[in-house]
This record gives sequence, structure tokens and C-alpha cells, in this order.
Amino acid sequence: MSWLNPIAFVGLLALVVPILAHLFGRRMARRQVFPSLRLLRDARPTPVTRSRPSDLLLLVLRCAIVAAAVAALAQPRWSSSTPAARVPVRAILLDTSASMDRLTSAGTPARQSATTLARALLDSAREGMIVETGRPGADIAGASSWLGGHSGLRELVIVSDFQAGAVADGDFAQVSAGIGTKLIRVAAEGLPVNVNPAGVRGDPDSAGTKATWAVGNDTGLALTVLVADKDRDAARASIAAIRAIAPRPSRVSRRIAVAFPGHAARDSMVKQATRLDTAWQGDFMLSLRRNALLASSGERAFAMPPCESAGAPVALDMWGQAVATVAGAASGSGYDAIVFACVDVGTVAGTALLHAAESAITPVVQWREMEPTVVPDELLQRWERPAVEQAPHGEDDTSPDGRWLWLLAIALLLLEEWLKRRDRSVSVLAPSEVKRERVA
Amino acid sequence: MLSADVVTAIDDLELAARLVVEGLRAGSHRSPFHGYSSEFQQHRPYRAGDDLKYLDWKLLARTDRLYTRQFRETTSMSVMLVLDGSASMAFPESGVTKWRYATVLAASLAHLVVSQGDAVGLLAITGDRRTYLPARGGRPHLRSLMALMDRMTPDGTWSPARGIARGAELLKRRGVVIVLSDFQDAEAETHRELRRVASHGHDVAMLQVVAPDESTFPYRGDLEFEDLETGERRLLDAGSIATSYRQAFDAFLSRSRDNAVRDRVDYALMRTDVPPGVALRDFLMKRGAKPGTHHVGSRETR
Repeated sequence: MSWLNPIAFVGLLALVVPILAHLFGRRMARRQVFPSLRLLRDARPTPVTRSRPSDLLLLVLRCAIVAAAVAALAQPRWSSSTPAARVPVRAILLDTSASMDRLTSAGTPARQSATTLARALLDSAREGMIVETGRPGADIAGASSWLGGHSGLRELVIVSDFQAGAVADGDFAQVSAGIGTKLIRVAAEGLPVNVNPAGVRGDPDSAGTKATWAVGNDTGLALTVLVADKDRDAARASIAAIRAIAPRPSRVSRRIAVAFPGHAARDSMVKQATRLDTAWQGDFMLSLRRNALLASSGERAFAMPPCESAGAPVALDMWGQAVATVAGAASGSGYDAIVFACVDVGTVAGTALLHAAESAITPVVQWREMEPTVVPDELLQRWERPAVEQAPHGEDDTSPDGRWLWLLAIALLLLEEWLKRRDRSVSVLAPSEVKRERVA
Repeated sequence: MLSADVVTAIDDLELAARLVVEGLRAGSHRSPFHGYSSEFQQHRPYRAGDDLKYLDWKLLARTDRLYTRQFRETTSMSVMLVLDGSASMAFPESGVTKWRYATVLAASLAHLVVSQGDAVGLLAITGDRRTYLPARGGRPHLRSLMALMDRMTPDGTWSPARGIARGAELLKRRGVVIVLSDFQDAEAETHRELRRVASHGHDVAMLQVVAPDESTFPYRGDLEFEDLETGERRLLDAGSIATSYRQAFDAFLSRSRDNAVRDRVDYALMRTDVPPGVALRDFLMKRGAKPGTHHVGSRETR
């Protein structure tokens, strides 16, 4: 025997009502004024705590009415089944939408984890199938229909990261009664894999001074990078690396140049440099100074290229030497500010400087804002329900077993009403009846 | 005869009393109350319907004509109505209360007495308050007596000493003392006082007013009975005590009647479901037939 709606058993708490009424009902007797209690005092009193058999019968009846109604609401199923039928048939909807490409906490793409899980579920099922779909909600009806052709326990499983809109209330309305639903979330975290599609990577050499860069396919920066001709390849590699780790600029209104040692016009730019005299220039410089990557990228072991005294020094390395200076550009130069690098472009410190400068002029976008919105766990729990065995001979899922309990409750209700009426007719005697009684 | 419900439902006590008394007169021509002294005044020719008691037989023997003797009343009779206004008289909560029934009876008796030219007084005990109106005759006095009764509401407990004994004392001379009460409380003391008053030469009558629910006890189930006078409450299974209560109540009524007979006190049981006119007529006819009461011929037969 099983119950389609076992939560209804909470209704058994209602049994407290008739029991309390029975216990305290006698204490709430009707008030009746009387000229004098003198003769009533002489009469033999009856203890009020005594329970009449009819009262007990009424109590039992009322409790039985509540219990029958609750059991009917719980929707019982009387059918028995073989052990084999208790192994479920599963239709597994595997979400293959783009969001499933994101990484899980284990470092693997969510889709991979979901596939592994789905196969394990399929292996443990009596029979089943995996449906790979980009829209799990749209395929629920089809899966339910497929399960409807099977007997025994049937389960619809959805493995997904449950981004908002993946499934909705209405989708589950199409699942037939008796088919269980299980919703398994594969939690994706961190950046999608395709954010770093080219696998740009900077490999420092053994001394940690030079890096070998795998160049990506997107080298657009908001900065203008001024390097010597011989350093172009190194600059491109650095830019590609920065592109991979720095936020993509949305709209940049400032024109900033980073002039590395060896750039042809650098000396003249130094001479024409002006002091930082606007608020945004101050913010820019402070932002450069706060960059943690830049501050930890000193290259003391090697001779530093000459670093001009123009502008304000930024990002002192661990030995107290400036990595770069910032100055205003001469009017007509085409720039609003110039960063004079004291390190070479191909070095780790040079790349860090580029990254810092790029970050400083780019509005920082919080990663949180980029996280997809997901269906809350509470909603998933609400949609989940256990599977109920389906009779092998293909009975309708809406079993009529509960109806007998409703009929029983109604019959008990009528019996209770009859008992009450009988008691009432005994308790209220007409005056003529009283007279007859007295004569007798 | 108007029913108890109708008569007691009439707001105007004077009208209710008049209706009751007129009903009485329709069936009887003799006064049940009799003064103490009368004086022969004259003869008049006999008229059909005259009481043969007043026929002058000697004159008939001498003259062979029928003459009726007529008397002149020399002393008017005084009647003191002692009314129990204790809270128990407010029973039942709905319908004709014992209090209303008793006031209609008292008003009817007062009306009857005054219309005979006699004096009637009132002493009512309602709680701590004692309302007294000395015995006098006349319509204005009757109206003020009824107005007094109309204003009273039952309250407190009944005290036989304050009611019966004091009522007889206030009568000043021998007269008729009619006590209207349910006699539920101080049973022994009540009978002692009635006996004492009767032994002083007063003509005493006790009208015991009883509501039907008191005697039939038609209650069932668990009820919390509340004493109207003391406020005491008792939770009882009414069905199981009904029989023993009825026996106790019947015994109580029998005791009241037996004690009254023993003490030479007129007794009448007044059930509030009986029309007041019927109840009064039965009581007055019984009084009229009772030997030893003081007589005054009715105005009609004199």
C-alpha cells in the first residue's frame, strides 16, 4: 500500500479537536438559572467527570471521521508489486545549453559532470533514456508521455544547472500523476571556458624575467602601446595576455599611451610632459599604484632601463624603485596622459604595467553581475515528487481507492448525526411527557 | 377567562387586575372577604336571587310575605398583601415570571377588596428594600398601590420575619394577611411566622406561586444551575437527578400544604400557567366555603 499525497497526514493533528471537545465540553455546560438550589442540593448529584458510553462512542466516531477524511486526502494505493517493478524506469533530460559549458567547482565543465551523472542514473534504472536538450522544459511533456507507456515506478530526471527559464511550473503540469520527478542541479562556477578561447598563457623563463607568450586572437586594447620596432612581437604577446585577464573595456573616453624604453618619440614626449593636474589623472595614477600585480613584479636582479624623472612615480617595486611614471601629455600630442615605463615591454613587469594601465582606465565589472540567474532550490524542491507504482495492468493513475474512504467518512458522519439526534430527543422532554413520566 | 400569558403580558397592572376581577364577578356574586361587624338597617321586598340566608323567616311567618334583611356595615375590613420580591421570583428567565404572576394576583385582590369598600395595604420585600403602603380604601390608593408594584423588580433574598411578621404588625388590628411567595427559602421560619400571625387572630392565607418548570424539571444534559438568590452555581447532570428532584419538590409542596392546614392558614397553589382569574376564583370559592371565616353580606344581597 502506498500514498500518493502523504503530506495530507499532517491533517491527523485535527484529531486533537474532538478529543479536546470531549475532555472539556462537559465543563462548558449550559447555564440555567433556578429559583433555589436547595432542592437540587438534596437531590443525588452526578459527578460531571463521568463519561457516558454514548459520549465515548461519539468521540470514537468523530476521530474516525477525521482519520478517514485524512486518509482519503492522502490518496492511498492498494496495489502490490514485484521487486522488479520497484526499480524505476527513468527518462533523463540532460541540459546541453551554453551555460552548461561553465566550470564546476571540480574544474570540469558542468556538461561533463551532468553527462556522467545521467549515465549513472541510467545504469541504475530498469529501463530508460537520456535526452540531450538545450531546453529541458520543452521536452518534459515528451518524456512524460514516454514514461506513461511503462508500469511500475517511473521517474523523470532533469540534470541541469537550472538557469532561470530552463523549466517552469507549467512544464510539470504535463507530467502524469504517479510519475516521480527528480531535479538534479549541476552547479557551474567561475568563468565560462570560452572566455579564454586561445589559451593565452605567459610562461616566464627560469629566471622569471622574460616570458614566452602564446598569442590569442584578440589583441584590441584601450591603451596605445608605444614600443621600439624590435619589441613589437613581445608587445603583441603581452597585449594578448592582458586581453585574456583584464576586463574588456566598454567605452573609454581617455586616451592613454604607455611609452616603453626604446620608443623613438619617448625622449621628446618626456620633455613635453606636463604635471598631473586633473582629478581623473590623479585617480588613474592611484589606481596604477594600487595594482597588486604591478607592485609585486620588480626585476631587481637585472639592470633597469633608464627611467625618466618626468611625472609621478607609480608602483614602487619591492626595492623601492619606480616601475613607471605618469605624466600629462603635451597638448596636440593626441594623448591625455602618458605612462613612461621603466621596464621593458616583454618582461613580466612590463606586462603587469600594461594590465594595470588597462584596468585603471576600464570600469571594473563585478563578476557577480555576470553570473547567470538560476531557479531557486526551494522551487526545485516544490517541483520534485516521489514516484508511485503503476499497476502492471495499466490502471488509471488516479486511483479510486480514496473514494471508498470518502464514502466511509460520510457514512460515519451520518451515524454521528443520528447519535446526536437520538441523544437530543432523549434529553428534551415535552411537558406532557414529563407528566406522563411522573404519573408512571 | 383570559390565559395567564395574556393577562401577565398586559403592561398596565390596573387593567390586568380589572380584567381578572371582572372575570371573577361573572361567576360569583359573593364576596369572599368578610368584615367583622354589621348592623341591621332595614327590610326590603325579596327579589329573585337574594340569598335565603338573609330572608326574614319570622316576618314571613307573621305576614306571609318575603322580606330580605339589609345590614349596614360598621367596620371595614383591612387586608395586608405581603409580597415576596426576592430574586427567586424572577424565574423563569423567559415567559411568565412568578413575580409578574404574583403582582397580577395581588393587584386583582387589591382591586377586589377596594371595590368592596374595604382597605388594602401592601408590604413588599425586594432585596434590602422594604416597600410599605398602609391599608386604606379608595381608588386613588389602589392606583398608587399598583404603581408601586409596577416599579418593583425582584432582588435579594426572602425574610419571613421582615415580611410576614412585620406585615401583620403594620395592620394594627385584626385583619386578613395574604402572603404571596414561592416559599422556597427559610421554610421552617416561614411556617413559624405564619402560625404566630394566625394565632394573633389574623385571617392568614398563603398563595404559593410555582412555575411549571420548577415542578416538571424538564431539563436534560449537563447544566450549570445558578441560584437566583445566592448566585451559587452547581454543575449537574440534569437528566439523572430529575426524578429525585421532582420527588423532593412534591414533598416540599406537601409540607407547605400540610403545615398550612395544621396552622389554620388558607393555602393555595398558584401555577403560573393557570389563568390568574381561574386560580383566584378557585382560591376565593374555597375561602367562601370555609366555615369560621368572618362574613359580611355582599352589597348585592343585603
